[in-house]
Amino acid sequence: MEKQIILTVQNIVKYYDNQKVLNAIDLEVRAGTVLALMGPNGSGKTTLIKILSSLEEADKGEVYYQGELINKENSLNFRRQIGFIWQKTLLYNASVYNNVALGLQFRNYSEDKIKDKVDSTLDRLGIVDLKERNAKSLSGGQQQKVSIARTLVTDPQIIFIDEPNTSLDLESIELVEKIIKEESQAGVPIVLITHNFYQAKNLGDEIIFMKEGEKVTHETPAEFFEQREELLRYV
Amino acid sequence: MRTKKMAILVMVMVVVTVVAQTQVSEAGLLDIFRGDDGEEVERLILATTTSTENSGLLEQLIPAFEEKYSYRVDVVAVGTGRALQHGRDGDADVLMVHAKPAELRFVENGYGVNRKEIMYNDFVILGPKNDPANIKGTTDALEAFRTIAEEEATFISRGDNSGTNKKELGIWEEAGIDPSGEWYQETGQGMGSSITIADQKDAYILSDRGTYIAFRDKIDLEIVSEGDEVFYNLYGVIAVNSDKHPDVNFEGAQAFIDYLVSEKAQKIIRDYKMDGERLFNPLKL
Amino acid sequence: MDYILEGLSAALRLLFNLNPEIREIALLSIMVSTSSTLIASLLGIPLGFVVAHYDFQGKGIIITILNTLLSLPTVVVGLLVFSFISNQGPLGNLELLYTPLGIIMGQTILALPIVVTLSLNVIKESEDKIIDTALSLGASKKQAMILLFKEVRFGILGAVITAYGRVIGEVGLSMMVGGNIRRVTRTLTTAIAMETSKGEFGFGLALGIILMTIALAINLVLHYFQEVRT
Repeated sequence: MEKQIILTVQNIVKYYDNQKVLNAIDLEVRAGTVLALMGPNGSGKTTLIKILSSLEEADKGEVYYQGELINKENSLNFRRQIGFIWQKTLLYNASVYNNVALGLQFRNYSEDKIKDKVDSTLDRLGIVDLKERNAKSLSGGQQQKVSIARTLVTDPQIIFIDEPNTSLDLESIELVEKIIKEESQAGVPIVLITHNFYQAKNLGDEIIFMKEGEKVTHETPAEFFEQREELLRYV
Repeated sequence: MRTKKMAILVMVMVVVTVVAQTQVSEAGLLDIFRGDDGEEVERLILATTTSTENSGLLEQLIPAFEEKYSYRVDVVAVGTGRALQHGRDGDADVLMVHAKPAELRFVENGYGVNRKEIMYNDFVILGPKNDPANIKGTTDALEAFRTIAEEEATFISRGDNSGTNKKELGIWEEAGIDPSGEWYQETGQGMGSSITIADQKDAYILSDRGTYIAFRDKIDLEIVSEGDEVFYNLYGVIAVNSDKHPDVNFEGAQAFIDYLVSEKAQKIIRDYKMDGERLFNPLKL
Repeated sequence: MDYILEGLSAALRLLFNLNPEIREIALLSIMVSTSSTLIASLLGIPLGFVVAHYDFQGKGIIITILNTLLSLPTVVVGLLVFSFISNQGPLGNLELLYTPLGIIMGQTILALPIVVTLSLNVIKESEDKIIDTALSLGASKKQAMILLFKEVRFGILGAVITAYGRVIGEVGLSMMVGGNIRRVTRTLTTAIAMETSKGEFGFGLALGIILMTIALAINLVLHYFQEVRT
């Protein structure tokens, strides 16, 4: 049985300073699948997920979330359905608790509900003991855990992850991979930018390879690694 | 939590300002900032020279005037050149300066009225103890200046268009010398700073006697020439013409001038001493 | 060496005796500088934010002008303000010349480019990442802006401290616009300049020590607010 389509994009075009960085991108994101985005630096991967997540507007083309066109009026609501784990973690100058609670505060949850959800998420990531610490004073690995908690606490319906391997230690990478597996098994679609083809192969259900703003291939990992050895040279 | 801290900070800044003002006077903050002290007195701006203010004489002269009339005298001490400019622009009400030719021109051109000569003191030439130009004891100012130029002994000029500077340039002109060269150095600064520079450089300098007396404990320079007629330093007072600037406090200026030539003020001038020496000689006693 | 010892002992005597005239001078310095820093901050922080946040034509020129203003000597600003508020100037009828209000006006002009450029840099440096991260966490545009302000407020406080340092220590403008009038516009810096010209080096140094003490106290207070607790 085909999995349900959560996100559809059609004919996305994006310019930066008159230079085309994305050219006519179409794709679908399905429930419970991990979509791995690969390609050399500057191929438009990060721009694409920013458009997919409504952080940036495309110059042309449409994004549909569960069949509904995303526009200015409903983009805030849409953003509140998604989660984003950034390549470089930016935590705010506040306690771990307040950092994790932020997304819920933006969504106007009640204090009691925020407390319940933050506590259980900190527990899930094993960082309850850091709760009162200032987030800026933590180690890199601890900060990554806080930023993951901050994303998961809002129960995102899609998760975007931008190059989780950069500047992370092995333990944190394993943690990110574990979360990807858990969430996708729970039915959450995941869009993952990665340079690591083992990661793409192990986690990905589909792999999109991009080059110079265009989608070059869109296949299963098995197909991809059988036939496109030469593409990996770019990675 | 920390936002609260910021709010407290802004409050602290405001409170500091307000408390500070209650400490300064009974007047309201805006009054203070506008230069009023809250009392029912009119402001009289006196533009004068730094040497006059630095002598301390005004602090003796003004309180008696303020007591008698309901004016508050605000002293702005600048060079004679700038004081006259203040008068031309109507930024001062009354001037006390020492450059007679420039003062007369000022009155002739209609900027000032009721000029009165109130007192005089004199200039002296200061020089290093070893006196490289060998002019010590000369009473002839022109001769002294000529020797300094011939010997190319270092000479410090104010170069700031002040009364003293105008006097110095007048002496050079009379001596028939156009001072230039490495030995002739212009500071562009006030009398005190220029004396300090001359002292550090072992140079000659023309100074008013008052500033010299104030500085003599701090410097090695001493008087090498005094007593020439040309050293005569006349102080005049002029009211700024209200025909040119209707906003000036003309009545206050007139009252101040009348006060300065009165017996009371003239006696204060006569009796004012620094280090036991009289600084100014009254002309109307 | 003599001057230094003389200055130190005179400063201590002045501080402990609280000579009323010295106290007036010191308080006027604080009042004037605090007022101008406050006004410059109220105008400059929003301005810095606007310049950092919005793209418009001539933005580069504005930033260049602001950076140039940073190196403007206080006397030049003094001259400029003077020519505006002098009786001959366009604002002559406001009678601001030789009043503390005139000094405040000039000091505000001195402090403004410092507040604007420094807060602009702080905001520009962290703006994109802070806003993107906030939006990805589900913030509305307004919520993202509020978060941005919370995050950059210590950097902006640093800008305010720098501006305060510039105005409380400047002498050229206060002298020119204020006129160093006793009991009216005499501030610590103009008093120091005057005492120096009178040859009262020890007394000048004593006033300088008082100025430094005030600056230190203010910086300690501001530093307390700026401190990041970890």
